[in-house]
Amino acid sequence: MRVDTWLDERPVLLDERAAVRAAAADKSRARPLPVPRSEHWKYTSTRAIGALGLEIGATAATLTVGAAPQGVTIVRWSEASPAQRAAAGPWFGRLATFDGPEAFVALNTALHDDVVLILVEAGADVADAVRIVHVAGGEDTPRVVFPRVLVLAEAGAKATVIAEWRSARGAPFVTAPVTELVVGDGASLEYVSVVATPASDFHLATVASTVAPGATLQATMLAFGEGLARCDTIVTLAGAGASVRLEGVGAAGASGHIDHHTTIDHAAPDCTSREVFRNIAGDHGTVVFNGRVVVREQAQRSDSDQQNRSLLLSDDATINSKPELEIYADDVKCAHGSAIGALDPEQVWYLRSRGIPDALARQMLVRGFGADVAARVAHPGARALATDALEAWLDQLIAGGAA
Amino acid sequence: MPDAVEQVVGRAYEHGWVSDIQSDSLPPGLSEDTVRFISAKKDEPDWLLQWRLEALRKWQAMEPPDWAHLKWGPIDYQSIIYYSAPKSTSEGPKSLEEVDPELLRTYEKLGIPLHERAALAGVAVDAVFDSVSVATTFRETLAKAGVIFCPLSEAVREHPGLVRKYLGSVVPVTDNYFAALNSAVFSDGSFCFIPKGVRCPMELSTYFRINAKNTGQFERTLIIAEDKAYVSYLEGCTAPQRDENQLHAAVVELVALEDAEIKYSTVQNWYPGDENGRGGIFNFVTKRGICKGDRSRISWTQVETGSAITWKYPSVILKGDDSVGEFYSVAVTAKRQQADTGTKMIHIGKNTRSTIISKGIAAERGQQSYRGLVRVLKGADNARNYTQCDSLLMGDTCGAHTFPYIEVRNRTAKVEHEATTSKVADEQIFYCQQRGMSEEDAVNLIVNGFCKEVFRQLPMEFAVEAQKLLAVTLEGAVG
Repeated sequence: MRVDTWLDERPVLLDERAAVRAAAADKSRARPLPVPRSEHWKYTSTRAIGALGLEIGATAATLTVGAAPQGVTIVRWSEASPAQRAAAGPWFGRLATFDGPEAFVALNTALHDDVVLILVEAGADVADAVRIVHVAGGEDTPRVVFPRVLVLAEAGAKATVIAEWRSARGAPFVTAPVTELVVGDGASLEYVSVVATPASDFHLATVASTVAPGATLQATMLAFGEGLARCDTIVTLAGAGASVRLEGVGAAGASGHIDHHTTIDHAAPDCTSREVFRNIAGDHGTVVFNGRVVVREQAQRSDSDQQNRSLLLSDDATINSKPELEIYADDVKCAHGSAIGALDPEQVWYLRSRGIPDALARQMLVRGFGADVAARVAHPGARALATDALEAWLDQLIAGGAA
Repeated sequence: MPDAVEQVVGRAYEHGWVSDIQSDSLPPGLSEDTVRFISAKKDEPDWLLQWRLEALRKWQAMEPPDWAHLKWGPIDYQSIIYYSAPKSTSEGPKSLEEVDPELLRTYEKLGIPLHERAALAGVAVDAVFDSVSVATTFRETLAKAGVIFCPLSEAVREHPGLVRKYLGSVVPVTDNYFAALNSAVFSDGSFCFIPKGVRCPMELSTYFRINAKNTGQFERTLIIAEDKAYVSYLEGCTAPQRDENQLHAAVVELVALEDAEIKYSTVQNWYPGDENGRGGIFNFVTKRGICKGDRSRISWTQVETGSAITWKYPSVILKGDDSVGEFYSVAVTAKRQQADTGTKMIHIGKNTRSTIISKGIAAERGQQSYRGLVRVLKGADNARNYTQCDSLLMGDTCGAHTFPYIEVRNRTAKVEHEATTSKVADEQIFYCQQRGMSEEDAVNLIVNGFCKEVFRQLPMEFAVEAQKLLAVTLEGAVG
């Protein structure tokens, strides 16, 4: 990647983003891609990206945002009013930090061309979901884009945001988005992300959020593909009594590589976190789950539970699971569990004994394995979208991957 | 400063101290000459010298590991003395009166016999002769059974074929930074060989090994159990031992052939440093066993209460079909101790099984981490693993962490991991106090219950001592 040239050619910014962007540029010049030996990148190599001969693309061409429902303002940073910028400014680059091994966050912060701001008014109860759709690819030139989204749900607001990351066939495409979610005092935000990465494409996403006192975040992260997807989800429970439900599915077919890295940081007392991730690996696919839960010294009476279940559908598939607990407070209730196995032959046999053909029995079980994550999405529209995407993809996986 | 050290070392070399065998100690520093000196001092064959030198060259090109959840400053490897002859009796305390009374009180609490207290505290008294004579008797019994049990340096002379075949076969020279360092400069350790079909007639312990004194900070142990052989090996001691070396980098290798079983138990209680984190041993150990033959079994049991820093992952490579690996661990960190410990289970053979039970207790300002790897390779059909790691927190300034790595490449494998973290509940203590127990006794009871699954795996005498040790370690940590 010609990172230095891109950095030199980008326009100078004089707004609230300037300082953060300069720091990110320094970091990106020194180390544009993650070091393969870094613990943070233990199971996922991004080496192939360096050799693609990428051109930098404009997000105006790939990112579209649906209409804003009542109580929501959607505006690009370049067109935002001074008041809107002033509201978003203090959060920009504060949640998605890059002082560690987060090379793609640094690259995005240094090279993004615009920011989509989604501002939810205080106290607004928004029924319709805000929908972001990004379509990568469909070109002859290998390209990289750095989409950037900032969602600001003010105190007491209730809203749903759906982000769809799709790909069209074409030359290799690298999408490296950064999304920052701010959930204000007592607010309630639901975020659903659906990532589909075809072979030869790369998706390197970071979603970083902060949850204020009494606020709730429900995030559902679905990633499928035959290419490489690495999704980092970071949740900071920053205010007393905040809670998060973080769920996800990672499913890889062909030679796909899907990696979910999550961090839930209990930084305040009396917070609750619930995390469920399901991994499904078929064919030659690899699925990674690295789930870190941190309970800080001051976060007494934290209640945290994390469950990871993984299904191997073929002899050549790989699952890597790394649930992590880091606890510095003593009055806590923390547990995690991880189990890896194949489809239970007894379950298949049970269904077959009811007259269901073998292939259908397996399909039902695999669908069922992932379905409950999608079923727990609260917003009806988002739930339907998540369920459809999941079923379509799992069916494809079973068809291609000798279940 | 390193320049100055290098100068000193370099100058010494000019004067040819390598051949100067009369010198009993080396100046601080590590170079090829240090290794040559150690090897010459021990009268080692050339292949072993070359092996050490190769290790040194590899070590020099390696970086110290930084992935563990531990904090320590850089270690100046050029300031360490890599060889010194056994200390003469005049250097230690002359009698128990000269020994730190704090240490003696600990011995008292642990119920250690008088003559052993003296030996442990480093007092040069003849009382040790008791154990020497006992050891001689044991040695005869072992010899009758065909078991070889001797210092590694003796084995290099007496059984070179065996040593050459197995040394470094489980922990290769380049395995990791500390293993490479150990391979270059290892001082001594145990060698143990159980021939085909022999069930070792007694529990082997370093305590009964003649010349076991001053094996130093770079200990190296090699245990081989041939087909259908069985051995149980005890390492360490519940009593805090006098030790002047801050860095310990030991290597232990176990080889189990067809139907063989090795049980390796460790109780480690080295100096943990004071409550401000000053002093204390750095324990960077590489322990690994290979279940080479079908149906073989290796079991690690450890009770770790000492050292300022523990970096230790006793592992099993399950190569033979139907082989079994087990890891049972209790680790305690109090004061400002840090422990990053766990295990690795590498499933290669078919129908291999492994069990991991890890209990971590953190008190005061202790930081406790479990780090474990379960890897199931492609050919390991029907592999099974069950992992349970529980942490107990006592106080709000300590930390308990869990970092399991689970890597599965075979769909017939079944791998389960569970972890919980909790504190000693006020209700539990209150319930015990209601029944007339003191708070301290109540906590001991609860902690012992928490560790029971692991203590059950220890040989009986060890288990009793381990319980007492836990109570002493956590003394004053309650509240």
